[in-house]
Amino acid sequence: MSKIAVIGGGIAGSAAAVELARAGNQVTIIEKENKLGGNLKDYGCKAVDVCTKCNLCLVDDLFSETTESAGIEILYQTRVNDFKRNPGSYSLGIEREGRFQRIDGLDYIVLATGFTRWSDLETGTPEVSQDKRIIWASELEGLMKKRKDHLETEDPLALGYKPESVVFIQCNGSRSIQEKARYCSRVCCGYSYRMARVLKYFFPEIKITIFFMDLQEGGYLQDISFTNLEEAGINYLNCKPVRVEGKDDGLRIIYEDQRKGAVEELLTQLLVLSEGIHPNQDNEHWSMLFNLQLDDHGFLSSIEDELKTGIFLAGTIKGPKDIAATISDGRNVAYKIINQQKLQPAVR
Amino acid sequence: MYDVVFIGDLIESPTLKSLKVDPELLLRCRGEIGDFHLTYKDGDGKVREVKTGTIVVNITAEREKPLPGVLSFEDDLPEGKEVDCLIFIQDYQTISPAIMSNRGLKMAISAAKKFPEIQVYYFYRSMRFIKDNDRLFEEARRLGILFLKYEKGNLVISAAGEVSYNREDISLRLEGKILMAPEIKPAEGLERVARILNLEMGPAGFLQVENVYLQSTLSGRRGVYILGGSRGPTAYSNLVEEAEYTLNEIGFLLQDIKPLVNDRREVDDQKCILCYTCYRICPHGAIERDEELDAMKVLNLACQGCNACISHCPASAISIVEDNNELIETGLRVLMCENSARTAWERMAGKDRFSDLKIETIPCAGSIKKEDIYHYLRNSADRLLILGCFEESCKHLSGDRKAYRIVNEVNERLKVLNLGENRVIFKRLAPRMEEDLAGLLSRWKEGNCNL
Ligand SMILES: Cc1cc2nc3c(=O)[nH]c(=O)nc-3n(C[C@H](O)[C@H](O)[C@H](O)COP(=O)(O)OP(=O)(O)OC[C@H]3O[C@@H](n4cnc5c(N)ncnc54)[C@H](O)[C@@H]3O)c2cc1C
Ligand code: SF4
Ligand code: SF4
Ligand code: SF4
Ligand code: SF4
Repeated sequence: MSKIAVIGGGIAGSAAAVELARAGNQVTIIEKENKLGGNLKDYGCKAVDVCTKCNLCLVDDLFSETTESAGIEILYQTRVNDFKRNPGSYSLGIEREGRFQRIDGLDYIVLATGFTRWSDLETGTPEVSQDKRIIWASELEGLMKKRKDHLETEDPLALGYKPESVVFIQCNGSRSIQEKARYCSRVCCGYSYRMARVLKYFFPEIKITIFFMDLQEGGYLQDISFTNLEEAGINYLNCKPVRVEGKDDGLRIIYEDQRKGAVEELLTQLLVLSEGIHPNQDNEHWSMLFNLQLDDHGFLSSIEDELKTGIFLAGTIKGPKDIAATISDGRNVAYKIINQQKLQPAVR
Repeated sequence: MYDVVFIGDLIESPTLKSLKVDPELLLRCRGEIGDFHLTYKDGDGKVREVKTGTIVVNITAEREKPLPGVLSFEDDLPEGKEVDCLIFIQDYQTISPAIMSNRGLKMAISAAKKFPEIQVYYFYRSMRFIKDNDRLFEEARRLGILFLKYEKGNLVISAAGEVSYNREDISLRLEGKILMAPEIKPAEGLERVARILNLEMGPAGFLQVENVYLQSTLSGRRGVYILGGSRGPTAYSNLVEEAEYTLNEIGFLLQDIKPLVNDRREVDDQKCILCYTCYRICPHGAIERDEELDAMKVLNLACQGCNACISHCPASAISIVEDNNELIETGLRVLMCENSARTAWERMAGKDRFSDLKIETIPCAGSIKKEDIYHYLRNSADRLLILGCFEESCKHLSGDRKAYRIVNEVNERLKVLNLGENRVIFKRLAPRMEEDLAGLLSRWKEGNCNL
C-alpha cells in the first residue's frame, strides 16, 4: 500500500484515483474547485435516435465511485504551492481556505490538472462578448438543455427568437499562430458534429452550416466524413471565414469559396464558435516545481522515467484528448503504479 | 500458462509472458479470463493446446490501392530521375484516416529532401492531425511542397495517369508519379477468428462492435482485447498508447481476477436441452458447453450479470443462485437500467413528485422477460415503463434492442387480446438526461404515451 496524491479531480484524476484506491492505496485528491468533474461538468448527452458516442455515459459512475470510495480523501478548494523530496518520500505544501498545510509521506504523485477552454482565457475572441448572436459551443450546450421546455414554441432554444439558420465555425483558438495554438485540439470537430446532429434532429427546419478547416476523426471508431454530414442534412464549407459582420437582420459571414474561387456571404441568426483545448495556466508552475518539460504549445511531458521519479502525468495536461482516451490514460497511470508495487515497493 | 496470446502480431512486453498464434492456424477457444484454452496448429501441423490468461487480437488490416498502377503511401519512394513531379493524393474515395496523413506527410517530406529539383504536390480534402502531424505539415510547407485542397469533382485522374486540378483561379495538368493513401480494409479471416472467439462483428467487416463502453480496446468478452487494424481504420490513430494501455491493464487484471457481479448464475443440467440459445444471446461470451455434464454452463468470471440468458432460456434452466424474488405490488411501475436511467434518477431533483411510482433498478433492459411483464400486468400493475440505454451505448451491447423487441411483441399481443394499448413502454435515456427523465415520468404518470 502506498500514499498517493492526485492533483486535479477531472476525469483523468478520478479514473486514476479509483483504480489506485481499489488496489488498496491511500489516495488524496487535491482539487481547486468545490466539485469534481473539471471541464466536462456541464456537457449533456448528444444522442439522436442512436447514441453518437460523446463518451459522457462513461463518467458519472466514475465520479460517484470517487466520492464514495473509502480509500479516497478529497480536498476541495485546495491548491499546491510547494513540493519537497524528503528521504524516502515526497511532501506537498497545500493552501486550503487561506491556511497552509503539508501532506507528508507520499510515495507517488499524479498530476492531472487538465486543460483550459479558449472561452475561459482573457484573450478569447472579442466579438463574442459584444454580439449576443455569437456564442461558444458550450453556451449552445446550455441552450439545448433548455430545449425540452421550448420544443414546440417559437423560441426553441430560449434565445428570444427562432433562428432560421445556425452556423458553426471550427478551429477557433486552435491551429492559428495569432491565437498561440498551432496544434489541432482534436475534439472540437466531433463535438460540433454531434451538436449539429442533435440540433438537426430536434429542429429539422433549421438550416445548419459548419465551416471546417479540416475535418478530424470523431474519436473512437467514429470517423466523420463529408458523406456523414450530407446524410445528416448538415451543410459544410471547407474553409475558415474571413470576417463576420453584425447586421440587424442577422450576422453576415464572409468567406472565400474555394470551389468557385470567389468571395461569398451567408446570413445567419446564430453563430457558434468551437472551443479548443488550451494548456492549463498552471503548467509553467508545475514544470518548475516537479522538473517537467513544457512543450512549444504549453503542454507538459515527463523528462525522466515516471516509474523512477514516481511523478506521473495523466489526461489533457499532456495535450488534447477526448474523454475516453483521458480515462484510459488515467487508468494507465494507476496500472503502472500498481504493477510496479507488485514487483517492488517504492523507495524515493 | 501464458499471460497473453496474440492472435496476429505480437507486441513485446517486459513483464508479460506472451505467445503469438497465426490467425489461420487458430482452431478453438474455450474458457474465460485467467483460464482460456486455445487450440491451434503449430508450424509443423501438430495440434496444440495452450492456456492463457488473456487474448489480444492484433491482425494488421489489408491495404487496397484506390487506383491500379499508382504507388501507395506505404510503398518505397520511387526513383526520382525519370519523373517531372511527385503527386501525393489522400482522401480520394473517402477521407483517409489520420494515420495516412501521417504516412503521406512523412513520405512527401523525405521525397522533397531527396529530390530537391522535383516539385512535390500534395492534394487533400482534409488534413488530419494526430501525433506530430501539425509539425510535419509545417515542415513540408517550409520545404516547398505545394498543398492543394480539393473537393470531389475538381481533381480528376485520367486512365493514362494524368492529374488535372481545376479551380476558378488555378488550373493544373500534371504528369508524374502518383502516390495515394491506401484504403484500409479488414484482413481476410477476421470473421473466422470472431466466430472461434465467440465475438460479434463490428461495422464494415472489422471486429469491434460500436459501443461506448468498449473503448478503447475491449471486446464484449472479458479478457479478449482488439487492437489496431482489427478494429478499423481510425484505430491506428492512437495505436501506441492503446497497446501500452492494454498490456498494462492485462498485467493489472491478472494479479487478481475477481468476478464482476456478486450473485452467480447457474444452469440446471437436468433442465437444459442444449438448444444453445443462451450461448448465442449472451453478449459477453460467458456461456459454454460443459462436456462432462452435457449441459451448458455459465463462466462466472466472464458473466457481467445482465440476465439476458435467464430471460431467453426456453427451458427456464438458468437461475440466479441467491434469488430473492419479491412479490409484485400494484400500480405504476418503472424499471430503470442501472447504467443509464438509474443514474439520471439519482441526479434528478424533486424525486418526491414521483413517490407514487414503484421504481425498480434492473441490471439491463435486456434482462426483461416477457413472462415477467405479463406477470406484472396480471397482478394489476396498470402500466409499465422500461427505461434503457441508447443504441450503441448499452453496457451489455444489445440490451436496448432486446427490450425494444420484447416490449413491441407484448404490446401487440395485448392489443390482439383487447387488454389495452401501450401498457408497456420502452424508452431510451442517458445518465445525463435527468431533465428529460423528469419530464418523461410526469407525462407518463398523466397517462400520456407519447413520451
Ligand atoms: C468544447 C469542448 C467539447 C468537448 N467535448 C467532448 C466530447 O463530446 N466528448 C469527449 O470525449 N471529449 C470532449 N472534450 C474533451 C474533454 O473535455 C476532455 O477529454 C476531458 O475533460 C479531460 O479531462 P481531464 O481530467 O484531463 O481535465 P479537466 O477536465 O480539465 O480536469 C482537470 C481538473 O483539475 C483541476 N485543477 C486544475 N488546476 C488545478 C490546480 N492547480 N490545483 C488543483 N486542481 C486543479 C480542475 O479544477 C479540474 O477539476 C471536449 C473538450 C472541449 C474543449
Ligand atoms: S455516449 Fe453520449 S450520446 Fe451516447 S448515450 Fe451516452 S451521453 Fe448520450
Ligand atoms: S478538432 Fe477540428 S475544429 Fe478542433 S482544432 Fe482540430 S480541426 Fe479545428
Ligand atoms: S447474465 Fe448476461 S453476461 Fe451473464 S451469462 Fe447470462 S447473458 Fe451472459
Ligand atoms: S438456453 Fe437454456 S436450454 Fe438452451 S442451452 Fe441454454 S441453458 Fe440450455
